[in-house]
Amino acid sequence: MDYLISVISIAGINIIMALSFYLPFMTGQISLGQAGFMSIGAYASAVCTVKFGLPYVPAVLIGGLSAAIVGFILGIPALRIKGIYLLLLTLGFGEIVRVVFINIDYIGAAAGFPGIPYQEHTLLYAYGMILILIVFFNRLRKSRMGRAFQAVGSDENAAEVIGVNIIAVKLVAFSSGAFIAGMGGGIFAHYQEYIEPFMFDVMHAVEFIVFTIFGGIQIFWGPIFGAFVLTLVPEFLRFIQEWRMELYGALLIVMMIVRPQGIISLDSVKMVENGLQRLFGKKTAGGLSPGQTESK
Amino acid sequence: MILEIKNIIKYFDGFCALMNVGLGVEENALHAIIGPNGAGKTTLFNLISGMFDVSEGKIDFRKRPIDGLKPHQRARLGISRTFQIVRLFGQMSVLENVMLGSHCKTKSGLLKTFFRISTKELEEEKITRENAMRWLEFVGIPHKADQVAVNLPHAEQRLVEIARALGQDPDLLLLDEPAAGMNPKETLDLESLIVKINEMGKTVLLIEHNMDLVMEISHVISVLNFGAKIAEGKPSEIQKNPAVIEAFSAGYGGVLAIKDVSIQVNPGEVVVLIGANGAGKSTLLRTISGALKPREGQIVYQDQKIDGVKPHAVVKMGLVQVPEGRGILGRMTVKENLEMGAYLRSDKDGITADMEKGRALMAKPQLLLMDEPSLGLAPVLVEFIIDTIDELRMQEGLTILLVEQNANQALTIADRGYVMETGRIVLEGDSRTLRNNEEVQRAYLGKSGRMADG
Repeated sequence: MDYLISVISIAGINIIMALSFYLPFMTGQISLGQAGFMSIGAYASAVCTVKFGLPYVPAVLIGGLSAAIVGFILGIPALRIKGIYLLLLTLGFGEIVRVVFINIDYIGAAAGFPGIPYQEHTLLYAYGMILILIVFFNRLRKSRMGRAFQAVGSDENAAEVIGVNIIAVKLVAFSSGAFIAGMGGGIFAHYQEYIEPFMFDVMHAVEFIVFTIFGGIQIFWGPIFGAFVLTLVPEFLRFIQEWRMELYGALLIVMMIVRPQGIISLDSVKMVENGLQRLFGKKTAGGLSPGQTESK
Repeated sequence: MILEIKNIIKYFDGFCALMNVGLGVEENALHAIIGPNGAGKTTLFNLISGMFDVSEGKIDFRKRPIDGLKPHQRARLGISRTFQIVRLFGQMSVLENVMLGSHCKTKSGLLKTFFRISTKELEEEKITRENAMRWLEFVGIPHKADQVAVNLPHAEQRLVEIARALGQDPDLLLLDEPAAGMNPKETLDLESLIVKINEMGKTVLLIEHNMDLVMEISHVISVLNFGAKIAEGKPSEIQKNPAVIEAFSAGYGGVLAIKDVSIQVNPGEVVVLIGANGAGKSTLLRTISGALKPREGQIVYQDQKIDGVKPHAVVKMGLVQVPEGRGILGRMTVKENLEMGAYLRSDKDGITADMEKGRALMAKPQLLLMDEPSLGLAPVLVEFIIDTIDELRMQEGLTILLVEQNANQALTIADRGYVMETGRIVLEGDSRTLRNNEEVQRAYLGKSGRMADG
């Protein structure tokens, strides 16, 4: 039972991290820096609780804010570049953060930061935050800023011409993503009790991307589902021991071939939504889902 | 003067796209910019909307210099545009696309949307939605609001783009070739839409190659050629201007597309035009339907001379052209086409009936000009299309002039055929003769029924 709770808690933190990647991704920005933001949140919140005796919740919030501030400052120059260059820049950022933490004695340097108070209700806090994020993304989807996010992600030149301030939109998305990552880091730190810079290497940032793409990039349920499943699968595959990562890899490859749009698509979400509406007797939203065409 | 362009120069890596162009657009005008391809028309739009900066010169909007302003700032001032190649946000719904138009006039931010401290955001969202709906009604496609934009037919995507631009509530609307890819009926609807927009008090700056449309509705026309303005004036003046005529005959008329072509189509016949790409088949159809004017010669339809008659008038006479690649199922994906194939076998009557319904809406044609109706379709559908054409003839007594890549299949239902090569008719005869002609077989029929270079 304890084992299951621990796996599901880690899955929760991974969901938060996948969503932190997904938010700037909506505006077309691929960030390899989410592990870096996570570490900023982890260290900042740990400093708050360990050195200043702050309670858990404000400490985690401060972790998120610290990451958001760094994200904002990094974003100002970074968001003028695109695609592969942004990828490299955020990759470099993640590494720099790690090297900086390795060299600060105040937080344990390379030896790590021990003695962080353990939060026994991590499961509740993590999934509480996920719930809030679900409400957030759901409201975002049907809002002015959400549409702007999608527009910038789809064709930023056209978006700018019709009046969207793309730099502002990207900056908001990027620093909000950093905020979520920082909160995730804070929750992680108080679950692990001990953090060290090596926990936040670029492989983790890549993992968050894999979660998102596996789950589906059309809607935020994709990264949620992807992170949850891909955290659990290797655990349930433990019985095949050293072959489990190979199977995990094979699963990813097969999924990408069979369902390149990811497991959860906009179609499937709309189907569920329509089903729910019917169930509760509300009038179904008119119109067709994207898979259908008007021809027939 | 709502827009004043003063001596702008635009270089791209040393290439001079616009050279010392000045242009004044009067408040509430419907001002057209014409010129051959590459004359710099779209570049001019890009400079006005701020996608590029001018190399030299000034642009004033409402007496205020806008050089150096970002595109979104110019949008906020009241300049909006559409694009030569439609740029909708494809995966979003039609309504969401149009709602995005009002982005620059609304305020709701990320945090306020989330926390919903006041009802202001919900209120604003509601108003945005209602406004967008109103614009969709205005352009005539409110029933498409919930569809995903990319699934719409081409002409409707253009309308969505116009609705989105109107959603910005602009004072100056730039339309970049709005009629491109539209059939004569759609072009006609577009024409009245543009006039309606202009009558609402919006200044319209229009780039368009369709001269009938331009001459019909513009108040002022500016002519660009090789990056310079060569003429400006009322439509009647422009049509007579020798410099303009020269520019256009060089730009458009330089290649003689078809020469000395004589064909005859009798009532109730299916006649097929065969030939390689660029042989002049589509040009011939477009000349018949009035989209192009012949330099010499005449076209007689039901004992009436129709060369020089406007396309919409030709349509009213019962002569309808189905444009290339947009025939019946052309815009569907390969997968949908395949699924359709399976569907067709089970419900062929249903779809035929639907097609006939659609056709009845199209002004009851008597002569149908079909330009590659099977373009890009799966083989099972090509067969189906060909069969349907045959049925149209049999049941409706339609006369059909058909351009078709799948010449072999087309000849199985056609009565007669013509073979075109580099703008001339090189061979004619009844279907059987053509199918048995060795030269034709080698060049166009092949074993697969595909043309040699098609």
